[in-house]
Amino acid sequence: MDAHDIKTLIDAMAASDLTELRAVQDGWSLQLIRRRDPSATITQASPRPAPVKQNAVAGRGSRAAAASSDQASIAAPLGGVVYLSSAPGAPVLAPVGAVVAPGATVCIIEAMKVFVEVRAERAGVVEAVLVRSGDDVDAGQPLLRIG
Amino acid sequence: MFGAVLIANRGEIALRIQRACRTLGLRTVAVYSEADRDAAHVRMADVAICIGPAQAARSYLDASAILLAAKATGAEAIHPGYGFLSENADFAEAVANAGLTFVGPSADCIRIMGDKVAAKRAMLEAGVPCVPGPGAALPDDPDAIRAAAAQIGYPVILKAAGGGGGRGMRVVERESALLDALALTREEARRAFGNPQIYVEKFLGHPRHVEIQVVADAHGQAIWLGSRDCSLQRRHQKVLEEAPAPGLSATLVAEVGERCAQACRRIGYQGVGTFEFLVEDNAFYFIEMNTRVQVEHPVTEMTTGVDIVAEGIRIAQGERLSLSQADVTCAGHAFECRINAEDPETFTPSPGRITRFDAPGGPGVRIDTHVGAGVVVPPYYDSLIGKLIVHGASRREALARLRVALSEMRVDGIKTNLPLHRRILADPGFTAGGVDIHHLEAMLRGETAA
Repeated sequence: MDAHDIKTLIDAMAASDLTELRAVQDGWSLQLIRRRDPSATITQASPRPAPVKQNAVAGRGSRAAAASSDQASIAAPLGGVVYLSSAPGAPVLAPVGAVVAPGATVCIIEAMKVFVEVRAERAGVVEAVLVRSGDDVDAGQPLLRIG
Repeated sequence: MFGAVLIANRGEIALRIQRACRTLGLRTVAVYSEADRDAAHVRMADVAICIGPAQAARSYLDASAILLAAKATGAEAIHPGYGFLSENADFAEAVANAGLTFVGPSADCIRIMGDKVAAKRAMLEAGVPCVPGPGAALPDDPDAIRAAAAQIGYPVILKAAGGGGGRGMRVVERESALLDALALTREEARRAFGNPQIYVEKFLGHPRHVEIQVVADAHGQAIWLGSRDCSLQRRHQKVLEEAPAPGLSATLVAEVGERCAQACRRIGYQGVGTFEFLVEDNAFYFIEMNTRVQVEHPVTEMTTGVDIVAEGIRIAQGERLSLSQADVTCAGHAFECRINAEDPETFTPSPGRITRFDAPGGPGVRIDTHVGAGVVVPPYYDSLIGKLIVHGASRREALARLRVALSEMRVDGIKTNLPLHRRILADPGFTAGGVDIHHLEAMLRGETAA
């Protein structure tokens, strides 16, 4: 499955009234989900255990898919110290490539002894994580890019 | 005797302690984190020294950095304030071992009061009334555990010996839920406090939070300075306090106050401290002792005229109490509103730059704050940006003054809980006085009569 294949599937889905599409081919799976807003088709391309070369293809695929949908950042609602997992040693809440649902916690900001969960406003795929765990962030600073 | 005091704290309390030191003619040493470079307590100090980066763990909680700062600046005493290292027995011990004076009780006293089971045992021995329940940690034998709870009568509350401040507690309604709840609380306590000991007490349904301020010197003298009511709490955090606690029999309060002073003499307590109680149906039940100055100490200062912080420093210098119990009076009534940098509806923290700060004024109005227009409230520490304290000849007059003061006070640029305080002042239950510790949360849920 390459970028062209993914784009073809996106176009096919956009032309239909499908809200969800799942394709599996050559050890790859691709999931396309349409939000209620018809302009925002989002995708998840996740590699099964596969050679490195195919990983690179997946990366291109994600970008290509994202390019055809809304791009947005999740910004810090307040200043503080950002944590990408819910506890030390716990898995990262929203790593690059993860699909997030609306309302999902993507990171945590500690401010004034209070932990504030930062949530995704809409569904999407995490394209980039723009901060590191333990970084100081200002209110309004972009934390993650969601495609 | 010492001539220079290092204040191991920040914010309004650092400034408060600094003022007390200066009125006593003592030199002050401020320590600060990189985030507090421009803070008022740094600017006003005789000497100020940076002890680390913004994170408290690497600055205000770094005992060795603070001791090094004391050595470098020639400070002879360390005042811990509240929070941070103030109730850390190992820190108090390290200060003493470094040949410095810790402004507060001995490490042994801090250690006893930090272990809730040991504290309760000490209070029972001193005749201070406690919540019904054995003054010992629960054993492992399930039958013995069930017997202990049954003897108290359900509902009971399980508490971590290492807990405090509302953490490490679980209410159990009936016997069938007891052992599971105990296992859960034990595990949480092991992780949170490093102490898996749990004890069981009677659960009080609608108590008030009433506390007694004490001061004790190194010469065996101890006095109590009246009561405070801190029932207005949200998630176990005090929001608004008053002195004296309204509607309680003066005889009853005096009896409990005298027992608190007696307990101080008995355990060799030195410095300022607070005995916290739950009060239900005119009965006091000890919950814990805070072995340090408290955020809400000003309401007692307003009603007694005693400078509690200065008194604590004088005592650390080895001086005798400046007054006897017979000299202690309680005049009028005082309130304190904790002004927090937080959203008044959602309680989300609101750090940032203050663009405007209008302080109220008039008779009986006092503001303890370290902020003002142009000050940046950092996100690394607690949200308290100041305290509005108001005194009046009666509770009614103090309430009227507080209402005016709250209407005058304005903080822009960040969100504060000032609107919440204005709501509380309009609440009939609060204005009548004597509400329980659940009242504020019920009010926030819209459950109280408006």
